[in-house]
Amino acid sequence: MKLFLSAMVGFAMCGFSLDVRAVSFDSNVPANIKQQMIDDLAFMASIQGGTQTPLHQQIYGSVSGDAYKNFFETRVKGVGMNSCGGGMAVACVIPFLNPNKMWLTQNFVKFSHPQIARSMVVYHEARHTESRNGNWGHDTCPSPFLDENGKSKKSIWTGAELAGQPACDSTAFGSYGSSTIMLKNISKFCANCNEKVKMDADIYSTDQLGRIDRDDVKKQMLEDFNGGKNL
Amino acid sequence: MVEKTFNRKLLVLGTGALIIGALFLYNRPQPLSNLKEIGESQQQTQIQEMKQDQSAQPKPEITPESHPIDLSAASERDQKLIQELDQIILSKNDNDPRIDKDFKGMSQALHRLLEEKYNSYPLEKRAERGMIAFLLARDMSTVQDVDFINQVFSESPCLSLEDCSAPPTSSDPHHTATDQMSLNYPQMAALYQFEKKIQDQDFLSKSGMKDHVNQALDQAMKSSVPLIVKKAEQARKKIR
Repeated sequence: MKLFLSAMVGFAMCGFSLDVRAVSFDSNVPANIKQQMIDDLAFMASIQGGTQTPLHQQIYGSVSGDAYKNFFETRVKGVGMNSCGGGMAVACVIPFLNPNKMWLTQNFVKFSHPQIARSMVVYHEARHTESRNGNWGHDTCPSPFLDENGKSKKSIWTGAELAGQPACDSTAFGSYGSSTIMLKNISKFCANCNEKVKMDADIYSTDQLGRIDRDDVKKQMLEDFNGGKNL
Repeated sequence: MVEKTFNRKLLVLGTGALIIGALFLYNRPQPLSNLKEIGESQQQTQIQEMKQDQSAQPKPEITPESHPIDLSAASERDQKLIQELDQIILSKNDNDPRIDKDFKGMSQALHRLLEEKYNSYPLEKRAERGMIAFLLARDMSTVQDVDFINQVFSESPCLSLEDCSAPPTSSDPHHTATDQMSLNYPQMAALYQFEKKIQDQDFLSKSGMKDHVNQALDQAMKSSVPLIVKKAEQARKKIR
Protein backbone atom coordinates (compact mmCIF):
# COMPACT_ATOMS: atom_id res chain seq x y z
CA MET A 1 0.00 0.00 0.00
CA LYS A 2 2.74 2.40 1.02
CA LEU A 3 4.58 1.63 -2.22
CA PHE A 4 1.42 2.44 -4.14
CA LEU A 5 0.93 5.68 -2.28
CA SER A 6 4.57 6.59 -2.79
CA ALA A 7 4.23 5.97 -6.49
CA MET A 8 1.06 8.08 -6.64
CA VAL A 9 2.60 10.91 -4.69
CA GLY A 10 5.81 10.61 -6.69
CA PHE A 11 3.83 10.90 -9.89
CA ALA A 12 1.97 13.92 -8.54
CA MET A 13 5.22 15.59 -7.41
CA CYS A 14 6.77 14.98 -10.81
CA GLY A 15 3.89 16.75 -12.51
CA PHE A 16 3.93 19.49 -9.88
CA SER A 17 7.59 20.33 -10.36
CA LEU A 18 7.02 20.90 -14.06
CA ASP A 19 4.13 23.24 -13.41
CA VAL A 20 5.66 26.70 -13.21
CA ARG A 21 3.06 28.75 -11.41
CA ALA A 22 2.97 32.08 -9.71
CA VAL A 23 3.83 32.01 -6.04
CA SER A 24 0.83 32.14 -3.73
CA PHE A 25 0.84 34.16 -0.54
CA ASP A 26 -0.98 33.16 2.63
CA SER A 27 -3.77 35.53 3.53
CA ASN A 28 -1.97 36.57 6.73
CA VAL A 29 1.06 37.93 4.88
CA PRO A 30 0.83 41.69 5.50
CA ALA A 31 0.30 43.75 2.37
CA ASN A 32 3.58 45.65 2.72
CA ILE A 33 5.62 42.46 3.07
CA LYS A 34 3.84 40.86 0.12
CA GLN A 35 4.39 43.94 -2.00
CA GLN A 36 8.06 44.12 -1.07
CA MET A 37 8.55 40.48 -1.98
CA ILE A 38 6.74 40.94 -5.30
CA ASP A 39 8.81 44.05 -6.07
CA ASP A 40 12.07 42.27 -5.24
CA LEU A 41 11.14 39.28 -7.39
CA ALA A 42 10.16 41.64 -10.20
CA PHE A 43 13.57 43.27 -9.90
CA MET A 44 15.26 39.89 -10.20
CA ALA A 45 13.02 38.99 -13.14
CA SER A 46 14.02 42.19 -14.93
CA ILE A 47 17.76 41.46 -14.97
CA GLN A 48 19.41 41.22 -18.37
CA GLY A 49 22.85 39.80 -18.93
CA GLY A 50 24.06 37.53 -21.67
CA THR A 51 27.31 36.36 -20.17
CA GLN A 52 27.86 34.25 -17.10
CA THR A 53 30.44 32.15 -15.33
CA PRO A 54 30.39 28.35 -15.70
CA LEU A 55 29.16 27.79 -12.12
CA HIS A 56 26.33 30.23 -12.68
CA GLN A 57 25.45 28.42 -15.89
CA GLN A 58 25.28 25.14 -13.98
CA ILE A 59 23.04 26.46 -11.21
CA TYR A 60 20.84 29.09 -12.83
CA GLY A 61 21.61 29.16 -16.53
CA SER A 62 22.27 32.59 -17.96
CA VAL A 63 22.35 35.89 -16.08
CA SER A 64 18.79 36.79 -16.97
CA GLY A 65 15.52 37.62 -15.34
CA ASP A 66 13.86 34.63 -16.98
CA ALA A 67 16.41 32.26 -15.45
CA TYR A 68 16.05 33.79 -11.97
CA LYS A 69 12.25 33.78 -12.22
CA ASN A 70 12.25 30.16 -13.31
CA PHE A 71 14.68 29.19 -10.54
CA PHE A 72 12.46 30.75 -7.90
CA GLU A 73 9.07 29.65 -9.21
CA THR A 74 10.08 26.04 -9.70
CA ARG A 75 11.15 25.85 -6.07
CA VAL A 76 8.89 28.13 -4.07
CA LYS A 77 5.15 27.65 -4.44
CA GLY A 78 3.94 29.53 -1.40
CA VAL A 79 4.92 32.26 1.02
CA GLY A 80 3.75 32.52 4.62
CA MET A 81 4.63 34.24 7.85
CA ASN A 82 6.70 32.67 10.59
CA SER A 83 9.16 33.81 13.24
CA CYS A 84 11.86 31.59 11.66
CA GLY A 85 13.38 30.92 15.04
CA GLY A 86 13.11 34.53 16.16
CA GLY A 87 15.90 37.06 16.54
CA MET A 88 17.08 38.84 13.43
CA ALA A 89 15.83 36.21 10.95
CA VAL A 90 14.34 37.61 7.75
CA ALA A 91 13.22 34.43 5.95
CA CYS A 92 13.48 30.66 6.21
CA VAL A 93 12.41 27.35 4.74
CA ILE A 94 11.12 24.63 7.07
CA PRO A 95 11.06 21.49 4.91
CA PHE A 96 9.24 19.31 7.45
CA LEU A 97 6.32 21.75 7.37
CA ASN A 98 6.35 22.27 3.62
CA PRO A 99 9.40 21.84 1.43
CA ASN A 100 8.16 24.31 -1.19
CA LYS A 101 7.16 27.11 1.10
CA MET A 102 9.16 30.13 2.12
CA TRP A 103 8.46 31.83 5.39
CA LEU A 104 9.08 35.51 5.89
CA THR A 105 9.32 37.42 9.13
CA GLN A 106 8.32 40.97 9.94
CA ASN A 107 12.03 41.79 9.66
CA PHE A 108 11.73 41.49 5.88
CA VAL A 109 10.43 45.06 5.80
CA LYS A 110 11.25 46.20 9.31
CA PHE A 111 15.02 46.12 8.91
CA SER A 112 16.71 48.36 6.42
CA HIS A 113 18.62 46.23 3.91
CA PRO A 114 19.46 47.15 0.30
CA GLN A 115 17.35 45.35 -2.30
CA ILE A 116 20.24 43.07 -3.29
CA ALA A 117 20.59 41.86 0.30
CA ARG A 118 16.88 41.00 0.54
CA SER A 119 17.02 39.25 -2.83
CA MET A 120 20.09 37.28 -1.80
CA VAL A 121 18.38 35.99 1.34
CA VAL A 122 15.29 34.98 -0.65
CA TYR A 123 17.33 33.07 -3.26
CA HIS A 124 19.47 31.51 -0.55
CA GLU A 125 16.30 30.20 1.06
CA ALA A 126 14.86 29.07 -2.29
CA ARG A 127 17.88 26.79 -2.65
CA HIS A 128 16.93 25.20 0.69
CA THR A 129 13.66 23.95 -0.78
CA GLU A 130 15.48 21.31 -2.82
CA SER A 131 14.48 18.15 -0.97
CA ARG A 132 16.12 16.01 -3.65
CA ASN A 133 19.44 17.55 -2.59
CA GLY A 134 18.86 17.15 1.12
CA ASN A 135 17.75 20.79 1.17
CA TRP A 136 21.42 21.69 0.83
CA GLY A 137 21.79 21.44 4.57
CA HIS A 138 24.61 23.62 5.80
CA ASP A 139 27.98 22.38 6.85
CA THR A 140 29.04 22.86 10.42
CA CYS A 141 31.64 25.62 10.45
CA PRO A 142 35.01 24.17 11.46
CA SER A 143 36.39 24.73 14.89
CA PRO A 144 38.37 26.92 15.01
CA PHE A 145 36.91 28.91 12.10
CA LEU A 146 39.50 31.57 11.38
CA ASP A 147 39.53 34.58 9.09
CA GLU A 148 42.47 35.55 6.89
CA ASN A 149 44.06 37.32 9.87
CA GLY A 150 43.94 34.16 11.93
CA LYS A 151 41.16 35.48 14.16
CA SER A 152 38.08 33.49 15.06
CA LYS A 153 35.14 34.41 12.83
CA LYS A 154 32.30 35.63 14.95
CA SER A 155 29.38 37.99 15.14
CA ILE A 156 30.92 41.43 15.56
CA TRP A 157 28.58 42.56 18.28
CA THR A 158 27.19 39.53 20.07
CA GLY A 159 30.60 37.85 19.96
CA ALA A 160 28.85 34.58 19.06
CA GLU A 161 31.40 32.44 17.26
CA LEU A 162 30.55 30.79 13.97
CA ALA A 163 32.75 27.80 14.77
CA GLY A 164 30.56 24.76 15.34
CA GLN A 165 27.46 26.49 13.96
CA PRO A 166 25.55 25.09 10.97
CA ALA A 167 26.30 28.30 9.06
CA CYS A 168 28.85 27.27 6.44
CA ASP A 169 28.92 25.47 3.09
CA SER A 170 31.55 23.02 1.92
CA THR A 171 30.29 23.15 -1.66
CA ALA A 172 29.82 25.89 -4.24
CA PHE A 173 26.32 24.58 -4.91
CA GLY A 174 24.74 25.05 -1.49
CA SER A 175 22.72 28.06 -0.40
CA TYR A 176 25.69 30.24 0.53
CA GLY A 177 27.67 29.19 -2.52
CA SER A 178 24.83 29.55 -5.03
CA SER A 179 23.74 32.96 -3.75
CA THR A 180 27.35 34.16 -3.80
CA ILE A 181 27.69 32.97 -7.42
CA MET A 182 24.43 34.67 -8.38
CA LEU A 183 25.42 38.02 -6.87
CA LYS A 184 28.95 37.94 -8.24
CA ASN A 185 27.54 37.32 -11.72
CA ILE A 186 25.02 40.14 -11.34
CA SER A 187 27.85 42.40 -10.25
CA LYS A 188 29.99 41.46 -13.24
CA PHE A 189 27.53 40.86 -16.04
CA CYS A 190 24.18 42.55 -15.40
CA ALA A 191 23.63 44.79 -18.40
CA ASN A 192 20.70 46.77 -17.07
CA CYS A 193 21.74 47.19 -13.45
CA ASN A 194 22.80 50.60 -12.24
CA GLU A 195 26.13 51.19 -10.49
CA LYS A 196 24.61 50.90 -7.03
CA VAL A 197 23.08 47.49 -7.65
CA LYS A 198 26.34 46.21 -9.13
CA MET A 199 28.26 47.58 -6.15
CA ASP A 200 25.80 46.05 -3.68
CA ALA A 201 25.98 42.69 -5.44
CA ASP A 202 29.77 42.77 -5.21
CA ILE A 203 29.82 43.88 -1.56
CA TYR A 204 27.36 41.24 -0.35
CA SER A 205 28.76 38.40 -2.48
CA THR A 206 32.34 39.00 -1.36
CA ASP A 207 31.26 38.84 2.24
CA GLN A 208 29.10 35.75 1.69
CA LEU A 209 32.08 33.91 0.22
CA GLY A 210 33.48 33.84 3.75
CA ARG A 211 30.94 31.15 4.62
CA ILE A 212 32.63 28.64 2.31
CA ASP A 213 34.77 26.64 4.68
CA ARG A 214 36.87 24.66 2.20
CA ASP A 215 39.83 26.40 0.62
CA ASP A 216 39.68 24.31 -2.56
CA VAL A 217 36.00 25.20 -3.07
CA LYS A 218 36.65 28.87 -2.42
CA LYS A 219 39.51 28.74 -4.92
CA GLN A 220 37.22 27.05 -7.47
CA MET A 221 34.68 29.84 -7.00
CA LEU A 222 37.25 32.62 -7.29
CA GLU A 223 38.60 31.07 -10.47
CA ASP A 224 35.06 30.82 -11.78
CA PHE A 225 34.45 34.52 -11.08
CA ASN A 226 37.64 35.56 -12.80
CA GLY A 227 37.26 33.32 -15.81
CA GLY A 228 33.67 34.09 -16.83
CA LYS A 229 33.19 33.93 -20.53
CA ASN A 230 30.47 33.76 -23.13
CA LEU A 231 28.94 30.33 -23.07
CA MET B 1 -25.18 -15.38 6.19
CA VAL B 2 -25.40 -12.69 8.85
CA GLU B 3 -21.93 -13.64 9.98
CA LYS B 4 -20.67 -13.52 6.36
CA THR B 5 -22.23 -10.05 5.84
CA PHE B 6 -20.81 -8.90 9.15
CA ASN B 7 -17.36 -10.21 8.19
CA ARG B 8 -17.58 -8.50 4.79
CA LYS B 9 -18.52 -5.17 6.44
CA LEU B 10 -15.72 -5.63 8.90
CA LEU B 11 -13.29 -6.29 6.04
CA VAL B 12 -14.43 -3.19 4.15
CA LEU B 13 -14.27 -1.04 7.28
CA GLY B 14 -10.89 -2.45 8.21
CA THR B 15 -9.48 -1.85 4.72
CA GLY B 16 -10.84 1.70 4.77
CA ALA B 17 -9.31 2.35 8.15
CA LEU B 18 -5.98 0.98 6.95
CA ILE B 19 -6.01 3.25 3.87
CA ILE B 20 -6.89 6.30 5.95
CA GLY B 21 -4.24 5.38 8.49
CA ALA B 22 -1.63 4.89 5.76
CA LEU B 23 -2.52 8.22 4.16
CA PHE B 24 -2.32 9.95 7.52
CA LEU B 25 1.08 8.43 8.26
CA TYR B 26 2.36 9.23 4.80
CA ASN B 27 1.31 12.86 4.81
CA ARG B 28 2.43 13.61 8.36
CA PRO B 29 5.25 16.19 8.26
CA GLN B 30 8.51 14.30 8.64
CA PRO B 31 11.57 15.94 10.12
CA LEU B 32 14.59 15.75 7.85
CA SER B 33 17.61 14.32 9.57
CA ASN B 34 19.91 16.46 7.47
CA LEU B 35 17.97 19.62 8.15
CA LYS B 36 20.39 22.06 9.64
CA GLU B 37 18.27 25.16 9.23
CA ILE B 38 16.17 24.62 12.31
CA GLY B 39 17.05 21.94 14.83
CA GLU B 40 14.67 19.10 15.58
CA SER B 41 14.31 20.27 19.16
CA GLN B 42 12.77 23.46 17.83
CA GLN B 43 10.27 21.76 15.56
CA GLN B 44 7.40 21.73 18.03
CA THR B 45 8.06 25.33 18.96
CA GLN B 46 8.10 26.20 15.29
CA ILE B 47 4.71 24.60 14.71
CA GLN B 48 3.28 26.46 17.69
CA GLU B 49 4.82 29.71 16.50
CA MET B 50 3.45 29.11 13.04
CA LYS B 51 -0.01 28.57 14.49
CA GLN B 52 0.32 31.75 16.52
CA ASP B 53 1.57 33.64 13.48
CA GLN B 54 -1.32 32.41 11.40
CA SER B 55 -3.88 33.34 14.02
CA ALA B 56 -2.35 36.73 14.67
CA GLN B 57 -3.93 39.77 13.12
CA PRO B 58 -1.81 41.45 10.46
CA LYS B 59 0.41 44.00 12.13
CA PRO B 60 0.01 47.64 11.14
CA GLU B 61 2.00 48.60 8.10
CA ILE B 62 5.16 50.55 8.60
CA THR B 63 4.47 53.88 7.00
CA PRO B 64 7.29 55.15 4.83
CA GLU B 65 8.89 58.37 5.87
CA SER B 66 10.47 60.78 3.45
CA HIS B 67 12.46 62.70 6.09
CA PRO B 68 11.92 66.12 4.59
CA ILE B 69 14.58 68.81 4.78
CA ASP B 70 14.25 72.55 4.25
CA LEU B 71 14.36 73.16 0.52
CA SER B 72 13.26 76.79 0.57
CA ALA B 73 16.69 78.07 -0.49
CA ALA B 74 17.32 75.32 -3.00
CA SER B 75 17.21 75.82 -6.75
CA GLU B 76 14.27 74.42 -8.65
CA ARG B 77 16.47 71.70 -10.13
CA ASP B 78 17.89 70.66 -6.76
CA GLN B 79 14.40 70.59 -5.25
CA LYS B 80 13.28 68.34 -8.08
CA LEU B 81 16.23 66.02 -7.56
CA ILE B 82 15.63 65.75 -3.82
CA GLN B 83 12.00 64.87 -4.51
CA GLU B 84 13.18 62.32 -7.05
CA LEU B 85 15.52 60.78 -4.50
CA ASP B 86 12.65 60.59 -2.00
CA GLN B 87 10.63 58.64 -4.56
CA ILE B 88 13.50 56.27 -5.26
CA ILE B 89 14.21 55.63 -1.59
CA LEU B 90 10.53 55.08 -0.76
CA SER B 91 10.12 52.68 -3.68
CA LYS B 92 13.05 50.55 -2.41
CA ASN B 93 13.81 49.90 -6.06
CA ASP B 94 17.57 50.18 -5.97
CA ASN B 95 17.83 49.58 -9.69
CA ASP B 96 16.11 52.81 -10.62
CA PRO B 97 18.01 54.09 -13.70
CA ARG B 98 17.68 57.67 -12.45
CA ILE B 99 20.33 56.88 -9.82
CA ASP B 100 22.94 56.87 -12.60
CA LYS B 101 21.24 59.32 -14.93
CA ASP B 102 20.41 62.21 -12.59
CA PHE B 103 22.80 61.96 -9.64
CA LYS B 104 26.17 62.46 -11.23
CA GLY B 105 27.89 65.84 -11.58
CA MET B 106 25.61 67.33 -8.95
CA SER B 107 26.01 70.90 -7.71
CA GLN B 108 27.82 71.55 -4.44
CA ALA B 109 24.56 73.00 -3.12
CA LEU B 110 22.87 69.69 -3.80
CA HIS B 111 25.70 67.86 -2.06
CA ARG B 112 25.06 69.94 1.06
CA LEU B 113 21.34 69.16 0.85
CA LEU B 114 22.09 65.46 0.50
CA GLU B 115 24.39 65.62 3.52
CA GLU B 116 21.53 67.18 5.46
CA LYS B 117 19.23 64.50 4.14
CA TYR B 118 21.68 61.78 5.21
CA ASN B 119 21.74 63.16 8.74
CA SER B 120 17.93 63.42 8.83
CA TYR B 121 17.54 59.66 8.67
CA PRO B 122 17.66 57.68 11.91
CA LEU B 123 20.83 55.62 12.27
CA GLU B 124 18.84 52.42 11.82
CA LYS B 125 17.91 53.40 8.25
CA ARG B 126 21.05 51.71 6.96
CA ALA B 127 19.92 51.26 3.35
CA GLU B 128 18.68 54.85 3.09
CA ARG B 129 21.82 56.35 4.61
CA GLY B 130 23.90 54.00 2.49
CA MET B 131 22.15 55.13 -0.68
CA ILE B 132 22.99 58.78 0.08
CA ALA B 133 26.56 57.96 1.15
CA PHE B 134 26.98 56.09 -2.14
CA LEU B 135 25.69 59.05 -4.19
CA LEU B 136 27.89 61.55 -2.36
CA ALA B 137 31.05 59.43 -2.41
CA ARG B 138 30.63 58.66 -6.10
CA ASP B 139 30.24 62.36 -6.88
CA MET B 140 33.00 63.77 -4.65
CA SER B 141 34.78 66.74 -6.22
CA THR B 142 35.86 69.03 -3.36
CA VAL B 143 37.63 68.66 -0.02
CA GLN B 144 34.33 69.52 1.61
CA ASP B 145 32.81 66.45 -0.05
CA VAL B 146 35.66 64.30 1.24
CA ASP B 147 35.26 65.72 4.74
CA PHE B 148 31.63 64.64 4.78
CA ILE B 149 32.64 61.10 3.90
CA ASN B 150 35.19 61.35 6.70
CA GLN B 151 32.23 62.11 8.98
CA VAL B 152 30.45 58.99 7.71
CA PHE B 153 33.55 56.94 8.55
CA SER B 154 33.69 58.47 12.03
CA GLU B 155 30.18 57.37 13.02
CA SER B 156 29.92 55.01 15.94
CA PRO B 157 29.24 51.49 14.70
CA CYS B 158 25.59 50.54 14.47
CA LEU B 159 25.16 47.66 16.88
CA SER B 160 21.82 46.28 15.74
CA LEU B 161 19.41 46.78 12.87
CA GLU B 162 16.71 47.24 15.48
CA ASP B 163 18.54 49.80 17.57
CA CYS B 164 21.97 51.08 16.61
CA SER B 165 22.77 51.98 20.21
CA ALA B 166 22.33 48.50 21.66
CA PRO B 167 23.72 45.13 20.63
CA PRO B 168 21.13 42.57 19.48
CA THR B 169 19.76 40.34 22.18
CA SER B 170 20.04 37.36 19.87
CA SER B 171 21.44 36.61 16.45
CA ASP B 172 20.73 34.13 13.70
CA PRO B 173 24.09 32.65 12.63
CA HIS B 174 22.50 31.67 9.32
CA HIS B 175 22.35 35.21 7.97
CA THR B 176 24.63 37.18 10.29
CA ALA B 177 26.95 37.99 7.39
CA THR B 178 24.10 39.81 5.63
CA ASP B 179 23.07 41.58 8.82
CA GLN B 180 26.61 42.66 9.57
CA MET B 181 27.12 43.98 6.07
CA SER B 182 23.88 45.97 6.30
CA LEU B 183 24.92 47.36 9.70
CA ASN B 184 28.04 48.77 8.05
CA TYR B 185 26.45 49.51 4.70
CA PRO B 186 26.78 53.35 4.66
CA GLN B 187 30.50 53.08 5.44
CA MET B 188 31.07 50.19 3.03
CA ALA B 189 29.18 51.89 0.18
CA ALA B 190 31.16 55.10 0.76
CA LEU B 191 34.48 53.22 0.94
CA TYR B 192 33.70 51.27 -2.22
CA GLN B 193 33.19 54.53 -4.13
CA PHE B 194 36.06 56.20 -2.30
CA GLU B 195 38.41 53.47 -3.50
CA LYS B 196 37.36 54.11 -7.10
CA LYS B 197 37.51 57.88 -6.82
CA ILE B 198 41.00 58.09 -5.37
CA GLN B 199 42.39 56.34 -8.42
CA ASP B 200 41.37 59.37 -10.46
CA GLN B 201 44.51 61.50 -10.71
CA ASP B 202 42.58 64.65 -11.68
CA PHE B 203 40.58 64.35 -8.49
CA LEU B 204 43.53 63.53 -6.29
CA SER B 205 45.72 66.32 -7.65
CA LYS B 206 43.31 69.07 -6.57
CA SER B 207 44.73 71.41 -3.95
CA GLY B 208 44.82 69.78 -0.51
CA MET B 209 42.83 66.79 -1.73
CA LYS B 210 45.41 64.13 -0.95
CA ASP B 211 45.62 65.27 2.68
CA HIS B 212 41.86 65.17 3.13
CA VAL B 213 41.65 61.77 1.45
CA ASN B 214 44.34 60.43 3.78
CA GLN B 215 42.57 61.89 6.80
CA ALA B 216 39.35 60.20 5.76
CA LEU B 217 41.11 56.89 5.28
CA ASP B 218 42.86 57.29 8.65
CA GLN B 219 39.43 57.77 10.14
CA ALA B 220 38.07 54.64 8.47
CA MET B 221 41.07 52.64 9.66
CA LYS B 222 40.32 53.66 13.25
CA SER B 223 36.98 51.86 13.02
CA SER B 224 36.29 49.05 15.45
CA VAL B 225 34.72 47.10 12.59
CA PRO B 226 37.30 44.82 10.90
CA LEU B 227 35.27 44.87 7.67
CA ILE B 228 35.70 48.65 7.37
CA VAL B 229 39.37 48.61 8.32
CA LYS B 230 40.08 45.93 5.73
CA LYS B 231 38.32 47.88 2.97
CA ALA B 232 40.10 51.10 3.99
CA GLU B 233 43.47 49.35 3.83
CA GLN B 234 42.56 48.06 0.40
CA ALA B 235 41.60 51.58 -0.71
CA ARG B 236 44.80 53.13 0.65
CA LYS B 237 46.87 50.88 -1.58
CA LYS B 238 45.17 52.43 -4.60
CA ILE B 239 46.54 55.95 -3.92
CA ARG B 240 49.42 56.74 -6.23
